[in-house]
Amino acid sequence: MAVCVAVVGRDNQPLYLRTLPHENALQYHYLVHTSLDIIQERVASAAQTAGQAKAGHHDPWDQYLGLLHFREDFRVYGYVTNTRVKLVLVVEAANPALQKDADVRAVFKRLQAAYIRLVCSAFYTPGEQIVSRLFNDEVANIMSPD
Amino acid sequence: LQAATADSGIPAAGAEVAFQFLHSELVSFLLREQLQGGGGGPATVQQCRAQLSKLETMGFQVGQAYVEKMTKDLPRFRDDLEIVKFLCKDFWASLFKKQVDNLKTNHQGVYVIIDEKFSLLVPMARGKQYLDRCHLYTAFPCGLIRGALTNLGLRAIVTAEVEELPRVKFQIQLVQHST
Repeated sequence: MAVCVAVVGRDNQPLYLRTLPHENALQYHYLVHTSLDIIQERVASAAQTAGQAKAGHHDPWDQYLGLLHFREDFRVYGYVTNTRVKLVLVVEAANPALQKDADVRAVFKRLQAAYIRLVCSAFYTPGEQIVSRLFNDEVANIMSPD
Repeated sequence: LQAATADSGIPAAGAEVAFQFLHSELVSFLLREQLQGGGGGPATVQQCRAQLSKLETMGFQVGQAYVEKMTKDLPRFRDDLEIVKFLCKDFWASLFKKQVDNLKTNHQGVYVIIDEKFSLLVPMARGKQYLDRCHLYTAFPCGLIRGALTNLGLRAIVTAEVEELPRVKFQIQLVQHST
């Protein structure tokens, strides 16, 4: 169960942020904002290490960025699409359901599918704030215990 | 319109033809006067440009959404050339059922894409007939390319030239290089 899901646009503008109902959203805004620096660093370093394939390390050109950082009891994961939209997921450290990389990747795949469905809708222009109820419901599904 | 082009990515026999008809109708609807030989006068020329601009914007929005869907599972692109190559191969194949025939670049932000048998013009004519009107039918594809490039991070100006149907030359000029 994620504690917070955020979608950040191409120019680092926040498009969407959703937390569990009883939580204070502001601290998550800060958390996501700091993780943007790390994302930028990872993307830039991938550009620099182009051509060096390291066995055993995960592909620097993968869309999934993995664990970005730890903070108190939270772990923050990142994902960058080819259209430069960033998805950030904040998870409780002790969460049993999302311990393995594969589980987190699956969550990001679902999030990306929801975002693509949103972009294909005639009522949404990329770069705008996300107010779609359908997207909201899908994220709620992803965040709540399945 | 977005639904129709989204469908043309899925291998369904009717979808490609449906898109071609839809596109033709779109052009006819927006440019009724010009197509009937409405002719001169500054007012109609301006109207024509406004309608073409509308067509191109539609193409732009469709291109943006389409490329979002298409690049879902691909690894991230390394540089501009890879993005343009993706456009020429996968994107073109998905929309027009064939790859681009020739790609040239001067490595300074200008790319020329040549399609010998552009699928939207193939049903119309072969040779030099209707040459004066085919720019009406290349506005939407220019928008498609521009939308796809913009969503992938490359701002560009896209124009098309037709010297002989159905051979189309698209010229892409990058406005600023992406990181």
